[in-house]
Amino acid sequence: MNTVFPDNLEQRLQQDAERIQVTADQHFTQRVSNRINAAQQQHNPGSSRNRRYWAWGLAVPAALAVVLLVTLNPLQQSSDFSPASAQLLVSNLDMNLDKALVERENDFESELTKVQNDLHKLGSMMGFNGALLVK
Amino acid sequence: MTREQERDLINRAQAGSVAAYEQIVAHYQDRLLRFLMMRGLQQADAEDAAQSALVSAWENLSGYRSKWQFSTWLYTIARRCAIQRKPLQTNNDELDADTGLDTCLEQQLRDNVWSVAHRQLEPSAFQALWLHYGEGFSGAEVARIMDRTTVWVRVTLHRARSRLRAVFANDNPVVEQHEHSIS
Repeated sequence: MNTVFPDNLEQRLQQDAERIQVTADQHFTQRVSNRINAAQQQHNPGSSRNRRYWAWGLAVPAALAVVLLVTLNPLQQSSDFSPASAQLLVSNLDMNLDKALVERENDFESELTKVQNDLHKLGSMMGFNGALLVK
Repeated sequence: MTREQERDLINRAQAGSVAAYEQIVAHYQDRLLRFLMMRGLQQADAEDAAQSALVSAWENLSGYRSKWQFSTWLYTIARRCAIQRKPLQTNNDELDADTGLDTCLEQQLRDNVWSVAHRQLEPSAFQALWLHYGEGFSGAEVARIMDRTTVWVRVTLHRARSRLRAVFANDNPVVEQHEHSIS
């Protein structure tokens, strides 16, 4: 290296800096332009407005569909309790109740008959007229 | 490109002219690339950082104020892009044979005072020295680019020069004795 005197350091720094040359790739400017155009496309107000319209156009029906599903589902479940089905259920209940009452009555009658017979026997054993006991 | 020409291009670019901005890009691309490579980026990374800086400058062109030189504003953006890719690291005390610079730059730095500066100075001091003597920015502009105070820049440049003078004086003892005899 050529001798660097302390008092010409600043001049040497400037001169040697000029000797350092770097050249960008020949397509550098084009690449910058491409990136700028791509960035402009992303920020294009027209395209963003269209995207907003599409977003609302899809979001609103989707929201409505969700709301309808939520509200209709309980209604569908409640179809089991329609007036016709409720009446049928009541009718079934009536039938079952009557049936149960009849069975209870039959059981009671049979039990009563047993008791009467037992009393009749008891009376006979004691020398009474069993028929009078039963009456 | 004169200042007036540059100002005209910037005004047209701010109005939306990509063609005008392309002329600004062509004017600054080599300088930006050299600054980023001297900062320690390899050429491919430096090109990518330079492109990012120029695209970012385009996107924020409406925020540029003519009270500052456009180059100062652009270099500030470029420095931030470089930091994202490679933060400045403190040099080790021992001389490191590997400069960390791109090989094509290393070849150019042979017999160049900047190779000594790169080895002897802390990265931030080297960057301040380069911006001032290599790129021609004033102390205030260097401070703005590096996000430092002007006092820091003045002190750093002074210390960097002193350090280099000491290195060259030690390397050239005959020259120093001759100067003393003259004075």
